Amino acid sequence: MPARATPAEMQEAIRKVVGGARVSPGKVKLDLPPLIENGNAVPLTVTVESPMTEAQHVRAVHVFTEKNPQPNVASFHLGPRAGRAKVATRIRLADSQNVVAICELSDGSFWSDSAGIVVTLAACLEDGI
Amino acid sequence: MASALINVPPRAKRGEIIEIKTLISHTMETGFRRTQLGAVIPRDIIRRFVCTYNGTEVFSADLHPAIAANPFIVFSTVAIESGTLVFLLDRRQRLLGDGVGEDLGRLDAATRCRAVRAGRRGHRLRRGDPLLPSAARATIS
Repeated sequence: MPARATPAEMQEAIRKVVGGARVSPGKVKLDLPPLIENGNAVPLTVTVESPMTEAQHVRAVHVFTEKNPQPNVASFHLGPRAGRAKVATRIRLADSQNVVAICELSDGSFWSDSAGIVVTLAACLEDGI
Repeated sequence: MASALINVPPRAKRGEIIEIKTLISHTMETGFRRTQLGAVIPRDIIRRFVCTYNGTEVFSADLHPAIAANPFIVFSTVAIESGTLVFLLDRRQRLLGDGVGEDLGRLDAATRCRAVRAGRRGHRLRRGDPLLPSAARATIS
């Protein structure tokens, strides 16, 4: 098994993305199942409260994990052309852990949400080919 | 190698928000797994995914090994005019930013359209390679 990232490494990865800006809880909603059998494909949806206009929109949504080998999962870049601030994908999770979503708004503010998830079969553990 | 299934409503009212679902056939090999002989299986990740609408970028995503195999990405855009959605994949092996070994596959648009394979098995995507035979137009009325 590769070395795991730690919650401290996740905070470091978040710092790299947000710079020195303050990250406040709220505005963004991270949807994850509370328990998943197979960590190889975990459905994830991030929704942000935003009118998505030229003046007020979501610039980006970043997702991080605490205990995967690498803390970064994905960064989605949106804009007023998106119409709706909602993205969904499927991710891998190596362990039961917290997942954090951070959104960057057009006014430069950062907002976050986190969700804990229990994984019964971790990704990355299956035998090689 | 990389084929894709793209779901875009073929028609939309002007100003309507349309949901776009893309499923790309790709192993997203993490680079953390080993073969039974102990050799590391090299990392092979789609690093970047971009969607353009009549030439303007409307959505992009930076992906990491924590994205599940066969990446499934759902996002939305406002249907402002009839036109073409183009999907681009960047399979650079190295992290974004160093610009080395750029490997850009081009996935030309589609309305409920199944992509054909990029080429023979083992064919590497290069800049301009179409993953779909031709661009399909999304009609916005």
